[in-house]
Amino acid sequence: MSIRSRILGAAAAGTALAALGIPGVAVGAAPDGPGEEGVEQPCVVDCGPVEPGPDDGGGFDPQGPGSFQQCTENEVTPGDDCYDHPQDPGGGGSNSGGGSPGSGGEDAPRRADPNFTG
Amino acid sequence: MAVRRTLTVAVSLATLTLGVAACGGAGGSRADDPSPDHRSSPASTAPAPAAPAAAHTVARATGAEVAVYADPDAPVPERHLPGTTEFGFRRSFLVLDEQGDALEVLLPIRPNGSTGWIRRADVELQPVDHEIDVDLEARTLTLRAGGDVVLETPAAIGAPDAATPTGRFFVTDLLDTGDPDHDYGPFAAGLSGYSNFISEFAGGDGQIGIHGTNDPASIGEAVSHGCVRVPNDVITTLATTVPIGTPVTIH
Repeated sequence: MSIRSRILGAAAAGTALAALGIPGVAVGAAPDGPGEEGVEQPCVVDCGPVEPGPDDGGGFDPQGPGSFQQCTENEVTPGDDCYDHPQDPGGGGSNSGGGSPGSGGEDAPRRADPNFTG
Repeated sequence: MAVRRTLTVAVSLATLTLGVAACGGAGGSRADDPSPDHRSSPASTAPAPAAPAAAHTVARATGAEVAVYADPDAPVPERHLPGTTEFGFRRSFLVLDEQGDALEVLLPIRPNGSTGWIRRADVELQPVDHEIDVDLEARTLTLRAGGDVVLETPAAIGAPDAATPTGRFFVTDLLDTGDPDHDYGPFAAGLSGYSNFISEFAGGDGQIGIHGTNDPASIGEAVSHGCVRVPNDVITTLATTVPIGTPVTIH
């Protein structure tokens, strides 16, 4: 029996997991008897949306939009923290736009209405 | 930075010639100008024969104004010029000669060809190897770099009653009109010279320039108020290639 199953057999676990906001967790009857054997639950726990991290313009952003945290099967115990599964590097974030054009130097033409003799 | 004596001699001769030919208009050809730098090549696309690099020196103001002296040892300046042009470019001077800490320069003032002495401490020196030659008789403009012809193009020049002045000048301003269909095309280069016929034009003081046009059919004709008109692609090249201070010889 996995750690997870044993936990789900404990009456207290229901409350604990409920506190984590995990949907669909079966909770054994309590306090009479050992309680029913727990039911295997999907190990993936959606810990809820996380705040998108800053978009640094590219590269892997583990906290970027759409990422979520997952828990491993063996670590689903009350009070455990979720952790990030390794994820494939995401696509490049959107660039914030190119920098402003350079000044072109001291001799670059300047916008002006000429008043030469024409 | 050493100023080439050959240039000094050439420009001095040009200045003297200017005094004679200032109002000569299209007839003011400088065929007698003996300086190699000023010699006009025929209207031809063939590169000029190998010539020594034209190392001109430009002095650029570093302060709010530049004191101009009548001679290198004069204790008191005869005038002051603003450190920037009306278009915001640093005031530049074409250097003709040097004597100790004094530099003889071509001034961007009336009358055309005026010279004076400035203090080296008031400017920064910069070499320029571009030069522009305008042949009024052939109605062409030629750009050289290091003595080699970079481009040659037909040009419109001043009408007989507003002839383009002849002499030795330099580029003072490079303006972007922001509109290829502007009367002056996409760009205009202000020169250090002034019309001998017009003292006020469009709010300006008769300063001449080189610019593009929205009337390409006028290229090659003597129809302007004194400016030199070139095709828009040429002025675009000039405006993005030549530095402020580039010498311009009109003959």
